[in-house]
Amino acid sequence: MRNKKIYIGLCVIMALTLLAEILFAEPHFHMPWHELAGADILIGFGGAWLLILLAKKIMAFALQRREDYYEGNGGEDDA
Amino acid sequence: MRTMLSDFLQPGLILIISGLLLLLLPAALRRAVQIAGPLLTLAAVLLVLGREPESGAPVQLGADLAESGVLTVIFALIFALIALVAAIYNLHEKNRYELAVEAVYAGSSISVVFAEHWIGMLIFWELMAVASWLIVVSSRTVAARRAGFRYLLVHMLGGNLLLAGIVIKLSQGEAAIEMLSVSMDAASWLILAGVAVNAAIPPLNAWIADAYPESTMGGTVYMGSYTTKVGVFCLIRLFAGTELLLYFGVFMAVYGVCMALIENDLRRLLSYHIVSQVGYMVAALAMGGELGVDGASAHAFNHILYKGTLLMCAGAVIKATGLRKITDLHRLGGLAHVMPVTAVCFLISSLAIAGFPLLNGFVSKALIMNAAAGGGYHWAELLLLLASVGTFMSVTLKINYFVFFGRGESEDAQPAEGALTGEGVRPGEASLPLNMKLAMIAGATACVVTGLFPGLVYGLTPFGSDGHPFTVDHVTQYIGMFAGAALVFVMYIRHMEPAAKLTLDTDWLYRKPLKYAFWWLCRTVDGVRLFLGGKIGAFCTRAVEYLHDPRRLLKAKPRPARDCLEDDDVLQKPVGWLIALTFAILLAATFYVLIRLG
Repeated sequence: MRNKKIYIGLCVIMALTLLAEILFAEPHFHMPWHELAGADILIGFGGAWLLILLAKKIMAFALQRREDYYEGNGGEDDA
Repeated sequence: MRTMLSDFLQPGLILIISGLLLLLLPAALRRAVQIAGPLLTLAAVLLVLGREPESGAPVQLGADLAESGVLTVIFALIFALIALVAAIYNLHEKNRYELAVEAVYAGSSISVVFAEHWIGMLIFWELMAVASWLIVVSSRTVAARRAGFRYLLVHMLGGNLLLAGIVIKLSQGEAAIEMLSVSMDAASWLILAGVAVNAAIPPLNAWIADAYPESTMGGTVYMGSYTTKVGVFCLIRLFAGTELLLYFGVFMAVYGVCMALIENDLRRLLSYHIVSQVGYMVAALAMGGELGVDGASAHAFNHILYKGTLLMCAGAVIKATGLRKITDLHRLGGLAHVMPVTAVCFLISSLAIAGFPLLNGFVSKALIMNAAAGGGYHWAELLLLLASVGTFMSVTLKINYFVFFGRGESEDAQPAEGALTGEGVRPGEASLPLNMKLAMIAGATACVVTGLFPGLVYGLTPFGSDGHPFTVDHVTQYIGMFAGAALVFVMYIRHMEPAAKLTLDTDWLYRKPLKYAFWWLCRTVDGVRLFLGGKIGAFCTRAVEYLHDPRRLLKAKPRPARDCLEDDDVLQKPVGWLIALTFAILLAATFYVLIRLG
C-alpha cells in the first residue's frame, strides 16, 4: 500500500516533468538525446537499473569478501 | 612575479602558526585559538585577494591561468571557510595533538594554493601529507595505525614523484609554477603522477576509502575537504585541457558511485563519493575551455560544502550511536526521530551532492554539463549523468532510507559498545555537543544559499561563466532523472540494503599480492644468504687454514688447535687475512691491467 502511493507519486512527478519539458523547455545545448522528450526519465530509470546490475550483481560478486578478509592469518595485516 | 618569500608569507601561515599554538597553549586558551586561527585566515584571504592587481586584460586559458592567481580566489576562500566550519564542529575536542595537526593540515593546503614557485608548493605539499597522516592515526586505533601507514606510503610515493618532476624543472632553470599541459615532457608526467595521487585518480584512489573512515570524526571533515581538492586545484592550474584526464575523470565518477552502492560502512561510502565527485572535476578540467575550468572550480567549492556537511552528519551519527555500518544503523529503526537536526542537514546535503535543483551541486553540475555539451563530449555527459543517478541512489536514497527515515528491522536493537547513550535510551542528538549541530546547520545552510544564488559561486570562478542552471530543461532533466531512478530504487528496495561485507579496491594490490611478493622476496634472499653464507663460510674457513700454513698443502698434517699458543705454526702465522686480502687485490689489479692492455 505504502509502495503503491510512492509509485503513484513518482509517476505524477514524471508526468509533470515530461509535460513541462514538452511545453516550455528550450535546451541550452542540443544533445542527441534531447530530440526525444522524456529522455532524461529514461536515463534515470535505465541508468539506475544498469547501476544496480553492475554494482549489486557483478561488482559485489567480484569484489566483496568477508569483513575480516585482511585480518587473516591471525590478524597479521602489516602492509 | 612574486618573490620566493611570498610563498611562505601568506594566509595559510596563520593556520599553521595557530596549529603550533594549539600544541603549546593551555586548554583554557585552546578554544579561542581554534576559532581565531581560521577566522584570521579567512580575513587574510579576503584581504590578499582584494589586493590582487587588476591587469584589465581578460585572463586567457593557458599560461595565464597558472600565473594570474585568478584560480586562487575560489579555492583559498572555500579552504578558509571550511576550516572555520570544521573548527566549530571540533570545538569540543580535547586532544590537542589532533587539533594542532588539523590546523597545520588546513594551513598547508591553503599555502599550496598561494604558492607561486615549485619549491614552495613542494614544501607545503609534503607538510600536508605528513599532517594528514597524523590526523588519520590520531584516532589511536590499530586499524587507524595500519591504514595511516598505508596512507603515508601512498602519499610519500606521490610526493616523491612530484619531487622528481620539480627537480627536473629546477634543473632546467624554471623556478616559477607554470602551465604544464602546453608541452608534456618527463617532468610534466612526473608532476602529473604526483598530483594524481592526491586527486585519487585510479589506480591510486584506494587510500581515501582506506584511511578516511579510520580517522576521527572531525579529522575526516578536514581530510574530505583538502587533499583531493588541492589535487584538483593543481590539476586545473597545471593540466587544464589535458584530454587524457577526461577518461580518468569519467571513470572515477561512475566507479565511485558503483562502489558506494555496495558499500556498508557509512564513512567509507561517503569516501567513495569523494572519488566520484572529484571525477566530475577532473573530467571538467580535462574538457578545458572556460566552462570546463569554471565548472571544475565551482564544483570543488560546492563539493567541499556538501561533502563537509555529509561527513559532519556521518560523524554525528557514529558519535551518537557508536555504529558505523549501515546494516547496524538500519536495525536502530530510522534515526530521523531521535536525530532530527542531523537528518535534515544530511538530507539537504545529500540532495545537493546528487544535483537536486535549488541546491549547490546542481549549479556547478550545470557548468560541467554545459562544458561537455559545448565541447562535443556527449559520451562523457551521458556517463556523468549516470554518475548523478548513482549518487542519488547511493547517498540520497540509500543512506536516508536505511539510516534516517526507513523503518528498522527491530526496535529493540542495541547500540554498539561505546555508544554515547544512556542505559536503555535510544541514541539521540542530546548526546551531541551544540557546536557539532551548529556546524552541520552552517554547512547545510551554505548548500542552500549557494544553490539559490548561484551567482555567489559563479562570480568566484576564474572566468565568471554562467551555467544558466534554472532553465526549464535543466530543472526538468534532473527531476525527471531522479524520479526515474527513485522508481527503480523502490522496485529493488530489497536489493539495496548493503551486505555486511568488505569491498576490495586497488589497495588489495599492496595489501595482499605485493605483501606476499615482499614476503617471498625476503624469504628467498634470506635463504640464498644462509645457503651462500654457509658454503662460502666453509670455503673461507678452509682457505684461511691453508693460508695460515701453506705447508699443509704438501703434508697432510692436521692443524693444531688454535688455543695452543705454544705451537710454533700458530705463533708464526706465515700468511693471514691481511696477506690474503693483499693477494686478492693484487690479483684483481693484475687482471684489470691485463684486460685494459689487451
